[in-house]
Amino acid sequence: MQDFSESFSVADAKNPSTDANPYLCIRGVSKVFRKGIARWTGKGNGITALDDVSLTVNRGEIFGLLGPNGAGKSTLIKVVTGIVVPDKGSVSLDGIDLKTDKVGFMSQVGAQIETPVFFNKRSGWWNLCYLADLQGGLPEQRLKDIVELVGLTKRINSRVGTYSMGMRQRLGLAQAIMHKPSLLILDEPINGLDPDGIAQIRDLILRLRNEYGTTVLFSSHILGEMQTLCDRVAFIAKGKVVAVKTRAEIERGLGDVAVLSVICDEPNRAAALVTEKFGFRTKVQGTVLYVEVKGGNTADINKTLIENGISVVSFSVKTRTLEEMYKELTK
Amino acid sequence: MKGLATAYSLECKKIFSARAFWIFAVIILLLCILVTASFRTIGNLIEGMDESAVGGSDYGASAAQLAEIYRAQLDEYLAQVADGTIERKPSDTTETYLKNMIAICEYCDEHGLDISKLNTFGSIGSLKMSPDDYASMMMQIIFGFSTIMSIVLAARVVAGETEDGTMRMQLTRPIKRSTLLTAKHGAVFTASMTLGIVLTVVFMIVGALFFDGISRDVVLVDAYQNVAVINPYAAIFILLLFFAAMTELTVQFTIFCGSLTGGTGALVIPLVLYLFADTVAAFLYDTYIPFVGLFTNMGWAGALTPQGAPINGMSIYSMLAVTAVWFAVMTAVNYISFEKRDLK
Repeated sequence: MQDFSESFSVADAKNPSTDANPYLCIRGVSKVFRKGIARWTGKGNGITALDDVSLTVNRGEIFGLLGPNGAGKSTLIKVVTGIVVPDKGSVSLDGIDLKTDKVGFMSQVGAQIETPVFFNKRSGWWNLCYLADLQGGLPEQRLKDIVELVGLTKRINSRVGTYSMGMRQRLGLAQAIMHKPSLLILDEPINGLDPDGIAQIRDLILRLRNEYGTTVLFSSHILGEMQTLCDRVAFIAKGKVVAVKTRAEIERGLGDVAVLSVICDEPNRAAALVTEKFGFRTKVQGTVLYVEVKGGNTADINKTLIENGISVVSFSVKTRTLEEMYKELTK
Repeated sequence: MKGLATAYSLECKKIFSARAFWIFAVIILLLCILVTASFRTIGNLIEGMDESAVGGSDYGASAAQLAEIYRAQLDEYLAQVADGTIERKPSDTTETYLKNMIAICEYCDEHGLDISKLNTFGSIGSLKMSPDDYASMMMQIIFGFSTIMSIVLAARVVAGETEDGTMRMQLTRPIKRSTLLTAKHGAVFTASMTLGIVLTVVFMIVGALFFDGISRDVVLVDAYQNVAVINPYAAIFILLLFFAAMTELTVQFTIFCGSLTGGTGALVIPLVLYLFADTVAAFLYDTYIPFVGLFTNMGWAGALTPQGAPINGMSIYSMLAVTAVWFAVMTAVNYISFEKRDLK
């Protein structure tokens, strides 16, 4: 397995050569959605969905895309799967360019984009067979195994129109993995799933990566899942990649910033002391002193206060959550 | 090519296994049976009608005599136009019709053919329903509805699937967009033509059983008074080719409308043009607008049958050239647009 402890900055991400084992390379991709004639001419104002996005995903890596609604995550995934045509930039997989060899590129990719859409009047099995045949054909047993794997065996012969959101997600996942892709792209794969379903998907993703070396690119709004699953996460806002963090970096980053709450007899003097000695921002509310600690040792603060004769009644540390980090990076 | 063949067979399978396709096919079948029953009844009713009706080729007039009758009618018509008794309107095709009839009669007279033994895929003044009249009418009904079906199918499998998101799922497979579009186009064409041909064969057999079979050679005449007499089966084959060309134009036009406007436009624009444009134009402006037909599909009918050129004074060659250019433009727009389109 790769060693993902190496840190990656945005600048690093723009240069695939710095990555350990680049597999999916997205270079300088921009996309503006225009309307009317401008759609044909490619000129004029529109909504900028992606602005010079560059990323690399390493072989065997689970890579997450994180960002608010409208940030460009789904557009990026659609560009990578060839269903949105970028204005600029290129996408390649293991050296195969999507634009020049779509068939070669997509034969290695399995994708589930947003809420999966199927032919509603047909059964799940019909849809699966149709897509498998479009893929070039797969053994029936393979399809049955996949259906069982995603837990749809009982309802696979029902019309897709009668499926719940969670069942559609499962069928979407089945069609994405049925041909054993080397790159699995999942856009919001756990939307609409119950907790058991989420756990199953999580286990499946890990199993695919660990047993088959499948590379996974996925987006989700569920921060906890990103933190649990991903080796690296790209934070996307307003069509740009604002940061790419490894899991280690995220964990370290979360610990780097903390809010310290101190209840003491002289909060104002304590605030002045902390600011003077450590340079941290402070705020006093009644008898409580709040300190925003960045990369410091909270024990030192406690020690300083006591040494200066301040009586500390309570001392608690609250580290930064991923949500706070996400908000900070994508604001 | 393998990818195209696979996609094509899958699209065909998809269309032929759709319940809506079979419902539509059954509706056309029932309609044909109804029309057949009506013709049979009307045919019996008019058996005893006045056989002295002018121009009745089934009543013993020779080609030369009929030519004289039509010439006299044409002269009278032109004289009335000249002295202002008749105000000639844009939709008035009397002159073309009479000239066509004269051309047919002169051709038969010149070649020693018995005009009463021929059929035109449109009567020459006959009140009786001949087996061939029946066959030609059924073919027009069948292919009229097949055209409507090709519009509905083409709108559904290209613009419809693009709008409802199922196209997105298909395009995440290792298949080129152009290949998928070609496969869908081919499948719609195949489905429409299959329906048309199967029903035509069925009703040819029905015609043979109820109307004594296909008996007579066929006179073909175009809007420029070119005449030819051919074997009825060859005529049917030519008509099938003709319908194939019309279906292809229709499918391409429907996809073209979808390329420009999306799903609703892909369905509504061709259907409205096909079903109502000529009628509305005739009602509002007392003119027919075969020009519109030329751009959908039916302009061909005007030029290759005795009805008239798609645009007054337009030769058959220029009409074919315009159609070819228009077809090329539609094809280019359809493929480029499909290749560049961002899907939902």
